[in-house]
Amino acid sequence: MNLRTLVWREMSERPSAMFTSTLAILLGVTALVAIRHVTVFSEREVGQQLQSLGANVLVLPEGATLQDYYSADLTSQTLPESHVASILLENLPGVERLSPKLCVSAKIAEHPVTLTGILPQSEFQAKAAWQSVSLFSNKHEGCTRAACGPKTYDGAPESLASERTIDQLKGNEAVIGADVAEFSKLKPGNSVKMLGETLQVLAVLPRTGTVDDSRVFAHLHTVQRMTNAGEVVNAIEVMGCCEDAAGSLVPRLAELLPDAKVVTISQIVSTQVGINRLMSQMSLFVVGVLVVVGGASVASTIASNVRERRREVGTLLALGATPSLVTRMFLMKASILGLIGGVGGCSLGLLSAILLGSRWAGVAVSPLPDFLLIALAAALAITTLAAYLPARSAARLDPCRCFSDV
Amino acid sequence: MASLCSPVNAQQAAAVRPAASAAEATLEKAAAEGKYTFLVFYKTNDSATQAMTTVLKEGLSTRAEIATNAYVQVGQPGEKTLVDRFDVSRAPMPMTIAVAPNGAITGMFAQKLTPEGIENSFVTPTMTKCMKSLQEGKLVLVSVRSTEKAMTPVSLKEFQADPHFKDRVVSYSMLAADSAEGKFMKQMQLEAGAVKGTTTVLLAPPGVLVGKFDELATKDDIAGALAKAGKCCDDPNCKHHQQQQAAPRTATRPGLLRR
Amino acid sequence: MFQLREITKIYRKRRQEVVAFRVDQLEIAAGEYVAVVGPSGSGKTTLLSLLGGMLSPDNGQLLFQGQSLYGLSLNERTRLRREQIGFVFQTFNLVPYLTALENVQVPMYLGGISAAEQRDRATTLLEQVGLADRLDHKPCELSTGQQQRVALARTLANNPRLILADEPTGNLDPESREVVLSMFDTFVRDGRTIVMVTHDHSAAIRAARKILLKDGQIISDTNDAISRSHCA
Repeated sequence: MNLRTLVWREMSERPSAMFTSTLAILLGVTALVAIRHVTVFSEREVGQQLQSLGANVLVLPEGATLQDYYSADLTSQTLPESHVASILLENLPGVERLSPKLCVSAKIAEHPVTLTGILPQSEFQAKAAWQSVSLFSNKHEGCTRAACGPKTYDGAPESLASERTIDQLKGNEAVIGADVAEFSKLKPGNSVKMLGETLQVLAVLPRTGTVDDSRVFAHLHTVQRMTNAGEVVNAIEVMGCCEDAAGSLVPRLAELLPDAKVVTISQIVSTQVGINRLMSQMSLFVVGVLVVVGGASVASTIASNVRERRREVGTLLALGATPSLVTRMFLMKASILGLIGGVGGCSLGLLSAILLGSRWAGVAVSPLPDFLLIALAAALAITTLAAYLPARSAARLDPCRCFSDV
Repeated sequence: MASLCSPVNAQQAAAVRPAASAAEATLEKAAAEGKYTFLVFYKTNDSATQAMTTVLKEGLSTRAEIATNAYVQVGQPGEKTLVDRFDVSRAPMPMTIAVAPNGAITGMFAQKLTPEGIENSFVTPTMTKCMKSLQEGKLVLVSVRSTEKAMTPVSLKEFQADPHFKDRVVSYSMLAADSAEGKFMKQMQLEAGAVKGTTTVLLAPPGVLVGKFDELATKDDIAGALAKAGKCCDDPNCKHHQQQQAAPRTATRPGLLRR
Repeated sequence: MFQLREITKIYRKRRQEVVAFRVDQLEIAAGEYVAVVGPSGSGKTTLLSLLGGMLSPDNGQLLFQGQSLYGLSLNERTRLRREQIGFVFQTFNLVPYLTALENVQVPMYLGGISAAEQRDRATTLLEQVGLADRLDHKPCELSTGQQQRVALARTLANNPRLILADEPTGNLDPESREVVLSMFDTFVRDGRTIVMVTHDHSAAIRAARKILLKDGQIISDTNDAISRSHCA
């Protein structure tokens, strides 16, 4: 016989009551853990996207929205391809690479895909001369990344996934996303027919978890011809050499191209950032709810338990239990409830985050041990604190309650 | 411009294959004569094209000895060679390209041409060489000598001989006091009177002034400046990359002049 | 064992005062078997609570073994109760979720005895009360008489010198009642002191001394042992 036995026996006598009293804590911890995990991994994903995208600026048609671009749904809105040359001729400091794109809807074996025309960087080789026309004018003060030396366009086609540009791509070649390869069973070397034209699969991109997985990339001019779109694009990605340069690019590009919309990549992901921020705030709200509702629930449960066990407590006091022992008895019970709610909540919350994170936020979630410990500690702290006053009142019970006519 | 670069040898001109269009012929003839060619690319003879043409004619009216012009209608099958050469098929139209006698592009003007633009297209002889080489993707070392007898710095020779660089670096020499190179001196922020001995200027594509080095600079100083400005070479074991990664340079090293 | 001097205990409720118990002088010697009788509300339970160190008097002094009981701190009184006083309750007051064995172990746990010794002593005590085959039964699985025997075993867990019993036979059938009273006789023969509150006349006559209470005051205090010695 010890305190732990005393507490655990009492709790296991009525397991359903025990579960009910932990429900509020469990649900609160579940929500907190799930929201926090998804938020953290979503923020990391956004951070990685921003990092991989670098200091990028996007030129879109005036009427296009950021969501249109993000979902590659820009079939009806275009810009003249000559805008690419205009940007190059302007010789803006800090412009490292340009990537014009033309997105159209297409199908492969009745599966919808996004056919994206992209200009390989080797096509810019001749245009590189344009930037040396105004000798010394392309100074970007503070940036040390002026590409010095001859450029070699020999990057692997798979680098399109991470670099967002491709070095070499012939007119009859295509690079396909991971999802496209999966449902169509296409591999490098295979042929694919789209919009009446046959393309050779050059490479399959690694899975990115973005809309690029369902894209087929072909030469921009090939796509223009296949679709009779003319010499147009519907997005131009401008890769800056560094953040400093990107900051000044936006207004200068807007001035250069008054018929276009110029945005930064951070604006594109700002919706996601905004959602992440909202979720962060939501998690704080959940903490508040957890404290109030969960704590109130536990306090009520323990207070009710104290009322039910008045005679028992009186007897224990009569038998020689100290008031502090009685207090510890109820606090231990509350701690066990908190532990059960915390462990259960963390497990459920983590599971929810893993399942829903990939489904709703498109991020892969893995456990954050530090945060799980914090959530568990919070559950324990809340339940113990909530039970403190009822436990103290139990310790102050009149031991005479053990007698029959009191 | 007081003088032009040397005209292309007539025999060399004859060795060039026959031009497919009038514009090409004009370009080749101008190169042979040591003249600049202003090529106007257009799609239709709209108001923008007419305005550009007017400005160009006015700008070249007093420069008939050193410049000529030609018109290229993009879309004409006969003009495909020129269009592809200057890669203007998708460029905003109309566009004027100034071509130096050696083939270097010294000016590109899309949709609008100004008299200042025309003026700026006439560059110094050394500049045309440098721009040509830069447009071919080469590193360019320019030796700016105070006198004819000024020595070529050892560092320059070593740099040129270095296997990492020898295939992609060219060097040119000029006199600091040459009035024909005044514009270039100004661009390089060099005072003719301040040049002692030989100052070496390193230029990298697409047109970046990497650094200026006095006679005391070593080959490593030059290579280090190149590494600092960007990728020095393709050798992953290049010590300049390693040095750059190990300790970012903040202090001015001996022999390295300020830009 | 006990000396009560000018003890008064008053309950106050809704501005009304009720004298629950008052005595000028009362002594209970070690080894006495005392029955406290009286109608409901006469102060029996108040007296028991005072003697058990659970209810401090408003006036007066209560000495236990020569020491002021209520001069001790709460923890000292609790320790004293744990080590020297055993309680027997009318409703047994067994902990419903513990087994018979565990119920008997509770006072031993409170007294700081090791788990192994707890088990051994509790088993011995339950065997002594004839419940060797009911060690792992919960109170709801025991008859009324068996529950009272478990309670009696619990009372003896810490080998108390003083037993305070509150209506120990109140809920029992005659057979079980006899078992309890017989055990009390044994306790007294072992030298323990018993103070028993009871309505049960047949239980009261078993005690050597009877204190009759009415309206919180001692009406009579008869000691059969003294009477017998006088008669002799």
